[in-house]
Amino acid sequence: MQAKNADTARGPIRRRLDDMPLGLAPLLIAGMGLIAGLYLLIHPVHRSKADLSMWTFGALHADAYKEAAGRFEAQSGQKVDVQLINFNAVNQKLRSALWAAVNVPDLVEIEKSAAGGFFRGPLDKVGFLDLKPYLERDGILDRIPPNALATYTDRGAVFGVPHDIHPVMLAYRADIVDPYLARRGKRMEELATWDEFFRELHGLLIADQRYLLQIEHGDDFAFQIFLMQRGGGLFGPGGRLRMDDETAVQTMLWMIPLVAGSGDKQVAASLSNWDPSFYRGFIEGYYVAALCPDWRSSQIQTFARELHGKLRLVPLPAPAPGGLRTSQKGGTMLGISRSAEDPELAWRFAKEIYYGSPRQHGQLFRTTNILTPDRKAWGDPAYHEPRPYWCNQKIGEEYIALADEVPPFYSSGFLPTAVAKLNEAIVSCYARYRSHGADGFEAFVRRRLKSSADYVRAQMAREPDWDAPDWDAKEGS
Amino acid sequence: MRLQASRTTPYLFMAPFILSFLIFGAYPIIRSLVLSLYITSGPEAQRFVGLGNYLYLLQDPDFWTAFRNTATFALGSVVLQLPLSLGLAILLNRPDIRGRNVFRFIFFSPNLMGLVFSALLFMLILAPKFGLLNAALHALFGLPATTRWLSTPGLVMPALIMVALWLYTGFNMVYFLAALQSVDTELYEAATIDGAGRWSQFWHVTLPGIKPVLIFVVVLSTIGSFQLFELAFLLLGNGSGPDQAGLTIVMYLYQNGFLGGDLGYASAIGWTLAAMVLLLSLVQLRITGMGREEA
Repeated sequence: MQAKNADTARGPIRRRLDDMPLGLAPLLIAGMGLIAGLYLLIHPVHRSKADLSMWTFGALHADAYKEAAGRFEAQSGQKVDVQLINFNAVNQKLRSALWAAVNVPDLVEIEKSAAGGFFRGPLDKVGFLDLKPYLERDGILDRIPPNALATYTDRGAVFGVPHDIHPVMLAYRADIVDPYLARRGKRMEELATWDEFFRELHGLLIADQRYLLQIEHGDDFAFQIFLMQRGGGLFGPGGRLRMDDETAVQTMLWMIPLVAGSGDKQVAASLSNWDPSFYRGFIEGYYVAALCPDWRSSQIQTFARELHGKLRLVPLPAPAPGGLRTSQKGGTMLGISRSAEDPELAWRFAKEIYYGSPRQHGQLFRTTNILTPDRKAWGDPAYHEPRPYWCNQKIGEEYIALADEVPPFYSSGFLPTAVAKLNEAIVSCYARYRSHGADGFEAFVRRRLKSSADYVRAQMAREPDWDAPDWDAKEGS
Repeated sequence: MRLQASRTTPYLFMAPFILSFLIFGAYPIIRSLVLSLYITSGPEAQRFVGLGNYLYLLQDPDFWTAFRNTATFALGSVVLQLPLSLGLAILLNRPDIRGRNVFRFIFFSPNLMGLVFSALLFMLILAPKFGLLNAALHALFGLPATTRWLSTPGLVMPALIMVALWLYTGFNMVYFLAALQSVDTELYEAATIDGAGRWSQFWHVTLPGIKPVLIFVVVLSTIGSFQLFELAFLLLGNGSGPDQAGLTIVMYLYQNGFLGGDLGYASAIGWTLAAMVLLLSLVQLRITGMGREEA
């Protein structure tokens, strides 16, 4: 009787719901699915209807390109969609897009260290177009420094055009160094070699408190700069591994004692290359000079505001008299994907943003200090303005003066592996020098670099000869 | 007819999940297994190598470096983290602790911050010369303030374990708290009457009472530790740290697949990791007798 009463009290809808085979929950789930489905039908995911799509990882790049896209659209009547994608995400997203052949952008900017990975495989299957014919046809090759294309050239094809060239200078604490040198009747510009630099500044060294140069021994940042300054590199033309050649050995033999020497033999130190410690160390005068590619100069400006008017830039001291006064670090390329519907249109936009308005390059230089490889743009006033932060130096002119000397950097799909193995070698050599000093150090360096290089060679040896005539694409699949 | 309908209804409700799983779960799993038998360089460049990737992996020193680092992290995490979590849970389960809900929230709160923020925070805390930890160690024990936690090979793993400890101790504490609250209080009363002390009660009442949860947390922590990637990647500046001291198996997978471009080898690394985790979990279940109990 009670049950019957309760049944009546439930009402007809509740009774029907309770009578559902598996209760109310599945019905709710189904209902939610239906509502979500209907919502998506009414509000479909935004798909770009642009004629060109472009991905970039630099926020300042994106701003400049969006502005350029407006001009380009007005001229060409073609719509351009510029998307800003996180630095790390752009590589994964691009790789996934290329694998799935879905949503591949027409143009994409990628960082130098990741570029080589995209150039692997048969030449005609690489995801990017060979831009060499375009560069030759439009006379762009004469407008950029000779070594700027080396990074993005693989088996004779140019898969990307350089956004930058990144010459390296030396940033130093003018407020500390200049008065000291003046007392000795010297100027920083006169220190033409590293030997002179360390000798003349030695009086500034205070163990554990002040060092002459920031050199991080935990990664390859400084080593690669020194290596390239000496004409070396991890890879040579054609992807030939050369990380254990004589230049690399000599660079290691020279660099490690600077940071691992005992007592006043240690003239360089570091707190970090990347995190705020680097800037704090510079601000506190823990080191009085640091290697400074153009992009790093803007980071120093941003994160070490206290050093306003206290820093200056000079060309790197050379390894030997008459040697190279700069090096190279970092880089970004712009590629046009092989699947671009209208490669000619994509190239026109690429030209617009990379070799178009000098004013646009000038604006970007004002905010990033990054020097464009396009000589035509170097006449823009932005490159010739004195910068109060840098003791009123015209830093644009300083970097431009070194642009043609920037050594070539050769990329490879095995670059990340080579860098990782190089890091291991640097750390091992540092530890060895700390514990044993110069005794047997040279033999150790040779052995250590060779073992790192052998590891990379073993990986490279696994790589099939994709361009061999008997190679069958998708073999076995 | 109605019986027929009621039999098919569950399958209809399950169909969306099963379809989604087949497309987004099962297919990629099988595809990656197939892919692990190839050297690849983009979708149109694949060469069948059979078990070549696996054989190469077994003699790849970097893989073993990654394995050693990952295992160290997992061991450090489980051995340090879980007793600490359990200890905190026992402490904060006591009714006589004032403001215990506040403490529970405080210990759990690192989990709400997200890995990226935590990594940035610890980059500052662990910074040499100017970091909080070095300053504290210098002030308390006179240790050098220039200790480079994230750029000295021997200190990278302790630093990672320390950060993980801060992040996950409170999280695991919540599991243990829930388990402790499900232990029958009458058992403690009976044990007290029988003259059992605190340690004896913990050993003979608490531990058996929370055993299923304990095993679950151990297995989950081990699996989570073996999947370590973001924390190390972010703390070490998007890399594997000095001398590869922070290279983990998943990071090695990422380097090969997404930086190097060989998704075949990366898949082989992924499958090897999956096999390792499975094996380890089975061993843990076997040792703890979980499978036998259920059987």
